[in-house]
Amino acid sequence: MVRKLFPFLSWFEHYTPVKLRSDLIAGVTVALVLIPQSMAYAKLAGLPVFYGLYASFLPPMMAALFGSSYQLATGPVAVVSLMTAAALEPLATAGSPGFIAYAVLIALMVGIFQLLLGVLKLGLVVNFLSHPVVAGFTNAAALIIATSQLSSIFGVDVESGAHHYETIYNIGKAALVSTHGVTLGLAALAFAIMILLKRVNPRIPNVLVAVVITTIISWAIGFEHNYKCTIRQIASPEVRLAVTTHNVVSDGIEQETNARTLLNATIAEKGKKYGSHSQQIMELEYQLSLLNLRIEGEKARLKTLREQLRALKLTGVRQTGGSLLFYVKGTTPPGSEIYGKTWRLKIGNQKINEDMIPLVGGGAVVGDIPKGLPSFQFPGLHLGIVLNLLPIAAIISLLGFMEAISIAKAMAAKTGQRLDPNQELIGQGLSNIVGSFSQSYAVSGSFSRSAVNLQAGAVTGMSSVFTSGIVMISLLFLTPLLYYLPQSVLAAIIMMAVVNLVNVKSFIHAWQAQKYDGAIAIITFACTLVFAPHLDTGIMVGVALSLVLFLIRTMNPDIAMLSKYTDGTYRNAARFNLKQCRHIAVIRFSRSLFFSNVNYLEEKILQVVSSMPDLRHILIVANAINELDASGEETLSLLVTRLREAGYDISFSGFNDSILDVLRRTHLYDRIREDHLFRNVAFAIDSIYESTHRNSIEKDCPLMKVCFKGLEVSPDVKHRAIITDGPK
Amino acid sequence: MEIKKAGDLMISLDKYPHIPYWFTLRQAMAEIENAEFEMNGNKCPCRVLLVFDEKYQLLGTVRRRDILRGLEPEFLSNLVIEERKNYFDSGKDQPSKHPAIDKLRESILDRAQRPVSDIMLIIKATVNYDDHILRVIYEMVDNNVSVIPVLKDNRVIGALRSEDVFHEVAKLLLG
Repeated sequence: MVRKLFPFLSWFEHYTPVKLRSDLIAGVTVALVLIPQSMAYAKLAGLPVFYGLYASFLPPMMAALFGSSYQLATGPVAVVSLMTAAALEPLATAGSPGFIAYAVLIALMVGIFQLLLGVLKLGLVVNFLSHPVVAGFTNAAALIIATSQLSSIFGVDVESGAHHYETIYNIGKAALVSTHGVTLGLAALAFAIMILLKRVNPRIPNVLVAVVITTIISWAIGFEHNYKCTIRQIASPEVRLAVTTHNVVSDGIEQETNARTLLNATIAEKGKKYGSHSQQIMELEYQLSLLNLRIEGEKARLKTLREQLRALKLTGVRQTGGSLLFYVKGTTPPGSEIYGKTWRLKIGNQKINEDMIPLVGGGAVVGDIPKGLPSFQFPGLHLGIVLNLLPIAAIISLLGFMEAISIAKAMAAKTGQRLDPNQELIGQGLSNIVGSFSQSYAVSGSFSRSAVNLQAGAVTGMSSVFTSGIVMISLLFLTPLLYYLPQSVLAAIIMMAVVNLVNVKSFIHAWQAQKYDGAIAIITFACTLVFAPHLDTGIMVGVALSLVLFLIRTMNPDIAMLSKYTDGTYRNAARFNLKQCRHIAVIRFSRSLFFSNVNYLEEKILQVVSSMPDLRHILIVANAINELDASGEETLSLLVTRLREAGYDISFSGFNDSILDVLRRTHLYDRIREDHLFRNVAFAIDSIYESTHRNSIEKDCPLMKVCFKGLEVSPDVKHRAIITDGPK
Repeated sequence: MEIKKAGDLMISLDKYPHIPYWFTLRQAMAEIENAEFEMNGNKCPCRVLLVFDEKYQLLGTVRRRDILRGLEPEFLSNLVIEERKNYFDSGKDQPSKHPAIDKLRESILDRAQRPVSDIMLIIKATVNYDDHILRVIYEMVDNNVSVIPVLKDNRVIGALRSEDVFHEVAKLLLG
């Protein structure tokens, strides 16, 4: 019982100093990969980068302590980070305190969901996500993740579109005119370092090397170059007007949004009083529609203003007295003392503070990371938000677990460890729950870090405990070193990581196995891309298609007529071009028999009866009938009665014991009769052959002898004795 | 231009190599190695055998590549095709966990004892002896077969090879 509650106790059986050393080396190695990667994934999740470190602090340790796998490395991962961002994008602005709070709340919800599934031993629920659906989704997610980093790679700032492809289009347009060369150069350098080191020596932590080199370069060249000016320091009256107009429109939207909230409350109140179809309500709803139209119009106007302001390039000119004036590039007075290079306005989603307008003269860096461990606090719970986030939290739980368990199985295949999926769920659940108390966002198992963990020699989950320890030391002492890390390098790290998620072979493999599975993979892929950033839509389309297909398959199971084959077995006569017996129809049913397919079986049997004029006996080969519900039992009962009344006999072979129990309970066993229930086809045919072939004109029975359907040959053809003599 | 018919170009069944379905792959291989046809005064090898049952009904065909496929040892047929190719790729390291190369011969000899009925292809298409050569071409291309049985009064009288059809078309085009 103690071992069940605290599975990590098993690590310390026969734990030697050698194993401790292996785990320590592995833990440190993984931490070197985890620290830069986690910051990159936090950025992907729409959070400040240091939240990646918070998500790497307690969760890896908790997942290892209470999970099942020894080598699974838990922490921030690309797909879950993307799904977190996608889930929260409609609710809050990325990076805002509300966004962060909701991200932590999702982690708590995901953790509770996973823990409950694990405790209730419902790990099988993950089977609802079939491999083709996951393949389609993961490939699409990889593309979405990679393209979402383009704005950071090129150093451009764009307005998000309603759909992901619109945002990418905006990025492309902006990149053509406003790419920041140094930003792009540092990203390219990071790519080059990571690719080269991976080829030269995969054991070198290429991500960390890229981070160190680019951070040093960024510090040395003064990559970050920011300035805050007042509106009076902007020389161009058009620009000043654009800024003030932006703020006026922004204020207007805020006022109208507040008015809309009040109007909604009034409508709700008056609706209760006068009824929802009263004239007062109709008038108020009309006002609400007009207000919504105005708000949408103003938002579109604001979007255009932001695009114009973001596209502006300014040149700083030093004045006498040391102050700066900013001119639109190309309009500076001749002979001016230029300060810095090109400046751009940093426009977020809020009002512009006219006394402190942020200008960017260089590239974006990670910036200040709060030193110290995250504060421990219970995530805020808002019922409305919880209900809103419930579907996505469920999907993240299942996807996250599926990722973790498939990685754990891959590790276990190499180490021979026995895994317990429900225990792994508990581990993942606890890691997310405890992580949420330390301001972590949702985490899962990482394939790349788990592979590093295994290769580095991890023997037990102590390696993840050491990893958490290294992250803790980083948070306490090393965060100032990360200030100058370029954001474009983090974007490059993400893009390199997701390249491994793209797996075209999985589509081909699904298509080769079953065309409809391939189609589901492709449809899920396409829907995920088209509906992005609403990623849950893509997955739900895939799951819905899988379920529909499953139902269709169960409704139309494979039914084959069997005949004897050359190896003595009974095979599909149509497939192997075999003749069928005139008097015995051997029918193989390849699914469990229940409500959705009983009619299909009945129709097929009646079809066979009508197509075989000399039919005397039907033998149903029931090896694949693993389940028989009430509808199935009733249909079998009716069939037995009808066929026997019509003069045919019916037998069954291959029922397993649980089905025989059902037949006994319902007394169908007695109606079929024991001498008509056989263990296998051969025995059944031997038993029923004689009675069915009395006075038969059939010379060679295809159930006793192999009888192929062949083409007759002209009698003029000379026969070879070796053929006419028959097999020896 | 004389329009040839299927019956004009076919090889009569007496002269076309054929075997019973219970022949082993080894026996089928020997039959193919020994059989040959004459074309333009040259001898050309047989590529496809016809398979019959003891009642002399035509059941199917066996090509050389079907025999080769049938000889594949079982331990290899369980791998995906890329792995199988890599196993024998001279530029790649051999997987250490698979049986040594000398066991391959044993496996192949064992597989060679299987009956041809395990690997034969069912007859997909036939032509009548008075069918136009173009009809023959369509059937061959549509069904991707290189030998097609020729029937007269619904009975097989011979077989038509794609080489003979091709040769006939070449004569028309090249003179």
